[in-house]
Amino acid sequence: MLKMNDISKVYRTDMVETNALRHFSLDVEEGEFVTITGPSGSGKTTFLNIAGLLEPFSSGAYELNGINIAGLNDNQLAKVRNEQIGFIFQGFNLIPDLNIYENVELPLRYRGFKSSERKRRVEEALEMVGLAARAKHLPAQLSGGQQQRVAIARAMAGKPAFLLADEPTGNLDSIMARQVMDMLENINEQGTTIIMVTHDPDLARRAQRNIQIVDGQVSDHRTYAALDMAEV
Amino acid sequence: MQIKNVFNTARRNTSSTLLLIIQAALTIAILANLVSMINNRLDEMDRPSGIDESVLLKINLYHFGQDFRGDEVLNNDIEVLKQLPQVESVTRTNQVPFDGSGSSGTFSNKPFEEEGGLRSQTAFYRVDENFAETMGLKFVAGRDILIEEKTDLIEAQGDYELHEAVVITSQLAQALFGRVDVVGENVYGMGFTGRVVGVVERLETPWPKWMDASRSLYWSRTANNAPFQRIAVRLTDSANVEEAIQAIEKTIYETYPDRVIQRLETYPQIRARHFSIDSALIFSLTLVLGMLIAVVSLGSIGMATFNVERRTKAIGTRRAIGATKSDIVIEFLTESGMILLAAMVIGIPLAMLLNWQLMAMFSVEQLSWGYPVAVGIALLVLSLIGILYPAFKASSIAPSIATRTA
Amino acid sequence: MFFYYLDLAVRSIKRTPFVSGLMVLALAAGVGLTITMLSVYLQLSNNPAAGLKVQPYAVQLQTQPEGRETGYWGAFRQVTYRDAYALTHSDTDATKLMMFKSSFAVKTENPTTKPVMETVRITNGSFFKMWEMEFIAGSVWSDQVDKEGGFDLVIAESLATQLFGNKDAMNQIINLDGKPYRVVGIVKDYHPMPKLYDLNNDIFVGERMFIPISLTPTEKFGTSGNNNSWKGEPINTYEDRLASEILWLQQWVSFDNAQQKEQFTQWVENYIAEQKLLGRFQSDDPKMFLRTPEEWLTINDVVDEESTLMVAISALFLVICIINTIGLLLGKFFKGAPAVGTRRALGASQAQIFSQHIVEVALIGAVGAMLGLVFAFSILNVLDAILNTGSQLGYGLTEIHWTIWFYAPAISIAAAVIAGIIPAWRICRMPPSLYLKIQ
Repeated sequence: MLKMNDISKVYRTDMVETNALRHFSLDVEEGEFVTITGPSGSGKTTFLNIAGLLEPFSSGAYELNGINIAGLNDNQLAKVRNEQIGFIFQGFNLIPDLNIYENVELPLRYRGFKSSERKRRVEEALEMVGLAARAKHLPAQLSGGQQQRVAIARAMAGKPAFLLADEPTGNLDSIMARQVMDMLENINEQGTTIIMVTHDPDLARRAQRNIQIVDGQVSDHRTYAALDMAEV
Repeated sequence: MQIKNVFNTARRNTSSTLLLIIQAALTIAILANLVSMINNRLDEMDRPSGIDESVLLKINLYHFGQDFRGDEVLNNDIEVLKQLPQVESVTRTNQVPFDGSGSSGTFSNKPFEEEGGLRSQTAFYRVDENFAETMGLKFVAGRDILIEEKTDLIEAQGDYELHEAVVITSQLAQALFGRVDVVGENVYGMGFTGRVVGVVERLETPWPKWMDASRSLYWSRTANNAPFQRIAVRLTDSANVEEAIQAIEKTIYETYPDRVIQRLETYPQIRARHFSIDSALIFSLTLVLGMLIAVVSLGSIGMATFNVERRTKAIGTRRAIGATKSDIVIEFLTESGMILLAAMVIGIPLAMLLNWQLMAMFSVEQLSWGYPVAVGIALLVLSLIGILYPAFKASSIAPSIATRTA
Repeated sequence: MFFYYLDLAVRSIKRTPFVSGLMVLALAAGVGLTITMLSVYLQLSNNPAAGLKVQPYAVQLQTQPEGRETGYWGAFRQVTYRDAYALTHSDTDATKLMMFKSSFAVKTENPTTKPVMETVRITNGSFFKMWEMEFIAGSVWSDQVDKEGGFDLVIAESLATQLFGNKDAMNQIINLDGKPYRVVGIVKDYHPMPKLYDLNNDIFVGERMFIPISLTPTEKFGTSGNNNSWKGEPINTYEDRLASEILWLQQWVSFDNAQQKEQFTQWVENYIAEQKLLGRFQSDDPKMFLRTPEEWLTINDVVDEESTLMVAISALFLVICIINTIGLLLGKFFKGAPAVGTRRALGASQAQIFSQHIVEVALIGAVGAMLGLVFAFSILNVLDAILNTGSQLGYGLTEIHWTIWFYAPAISIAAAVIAGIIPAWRICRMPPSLYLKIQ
């Protein structure tokens, strides 16, 4: 599903050269739920940006759902993002001018669907997150948890191969956070691959596999079971 | 410290800083040229005529009666008009200053057959003996033409060598003789020789747009029976002009009904007509000036607001680590001042460059350095005042902003 | 996607009314001023002869001794009566026209009407043919009248209505300075913009009354145009004037074919040689110039320097407005950067982001253009009021030139898009990851 092999990412400024990722390799199978943890500045965000095709990488190979990412131009990258990846952000990133319906519709527009097809899919996605009644509301009129559910609906509306979630519960209280996590797990059970960045060990533990990044490299790689055993 | 901060900020926002500098520099360049052009035009429009404009009326008369005898009718007009309490004196003349219509010819200090004479295009007034007094001319040398020196056109017919008494302007005297007191000298032109009996300080031509709009002369030769006649009326005082005009119009139609007052104008009207293109230009230039200032200052306020918004977190952080409110205000003022100084460094030479360009293409006068410098300083002061509000707004950003993660 | 972008643009503008309003105003000001000045310029540089089937030529004769240019109006833009008469009555097939302008007290036979001053063109019959004027009644006076003189009169439709109302003006008597003339023809009003055939003065006002120039020697018409002379000669009688070197007539010719032109040119060359021999033409190299209407407009400096200057100034002002708009757009677009980051993550390409922003800018430009047009109308009205106090310029100058309807939206949207390209480019090139974290 997602194959990263020997990926490196170097940031250059006038003074310093920073290695954000160093010889980073990762394989994620279809249907997996993988969490990424790591201290601040470890390269988590860089990983997420590269995985989400939001940033180019300096060297290495990256294959997503059989597509070789290196060498794609901006249009092709946008198409892959649109068709293969659903994004969920810590800050929800709903567009404030657009109402809930229009926010969910966004990726479908960029995919060039007809209006009737968009309507069907948006309604389906909003139904899934239980916010169909709020379609005409603006994001600001919703609570944080509801906003994140809209974001999930938006990410899922295009039926992507996998979801990239960046601290999806970071801005939510515990009850709402649980709702969102339940929803993500539900989505995963339906067959969507999920990669989630978090700093919360409890959440990390709920996934099948946790990867810890330190200094731009995979420092710890264990399965759900192994993690449990270590703590025993 | 402040300046270092400012430089750092400027470096981070290169494009918007650069835009502000370019905009201000161009503004200085254009404004300086606009102000200079407006000033020059206003000067041109203020050009003195040498006559008492406030009490003068010009009247064009067109006579359609059969067997019209110009001298008889007009001399009668003058006598009758002078009886009016509003009228001080009346003169017959072929033209008046700034009117746009009249006669001119080439005059010289030597007969045309001789080599080496100085020549000048000259407006020639053909007037009656009341002209100097009615118009209010000031003599700087010599005297007015005497009645016995008056030469009647009809009698003079064909006499090419005729010597006539003429009065010339000091500017024409300068052009032809290089000095003002030229009483006793001869001028040659239009097939006659004129003996200078007097020099007036100024009597503008009917065409102030000429390069040599002050070069005129007059001689006493009015007799003609052409249907078109022109008179100038001197009023006793400059108040109640409307009332005077009505009385004069009534009298003119009563004394000789077979005619039309083609045009009766006061000097403000003549000037407005003659300088209409200048007025339109001044209006247009002033409009550009006003809009330029409005657009640039509103735009700068808009950009300053964005700047504050963009730097909210940075300002919060600085506040959190101990910068006082006034530090923030001073930083904004310094930044604005630096931008304007940079703009002046570019804008002042740019103003001169633009002026050269305009001078090459149009008859625009040279720009003196004072204009762009003054405009630059004015803009500097304006922008410092303008930045105060956003700066105070920025200084009231709470330090706690810095600690918020979002 | 266009309508989607348009919808987004409207929302974005509504969200930032102050800044958007500023941009609209800046563009409206810049565009309004530019199209105002452009309109005046275009109106002045209009060539009214462009639609004529046969191109006329203005005649210039270089006869004066070198260094004796006639005053400040420039050399030989008119011709002497002698030369105009000789060329017009030459035995050549060309259509030849000589004329000048005068004014008369005009009175109908109706005893209750007051006399009015009217400007009159004194010319020969070719005038109507050369400018392709349309007769709505009667016709031009006869060739006989052109040769021997006759008190015939052609008037314009508007004057016919003014003088006679609904009554048929044909064959009516009109008194010019007390002399009775008979109306033989009525033409449609003809006001070329500018008055190409006589650019000496009142270049926006055409005449409405035409009488035969063959009456000139006997009727001793005065001129209300310019008289220029390089020669100091005494002029005491009307005969002196007609025989003098004073330049005061306008002369035009047109040719149906190249042979006619050749024949006329040849004739004039002979005439010039003869006059030179007689010692009348004192130029070292006397010659004739035939000027096309375009050349004639240029030679006569019809396009006022002021109007060209104002086009230049207003263009500079527009540049400032554009720079100002660039600054504001950069600020506005970067404020919306997080949303752009989200859109990019959701699959928008750079091209789509660019288009979205360009549509917004074009919308601002379109609103600016409309406002600019309104603005231009009001400036033109003020200019009209100022210029109408002048004798030189009348109506017409400050009418909106028709091409402005194409220029105004084009200039405005082009200005907005030029202003928008840099900000839209920068925002679409921005790495999306940069703004995703920041909220």
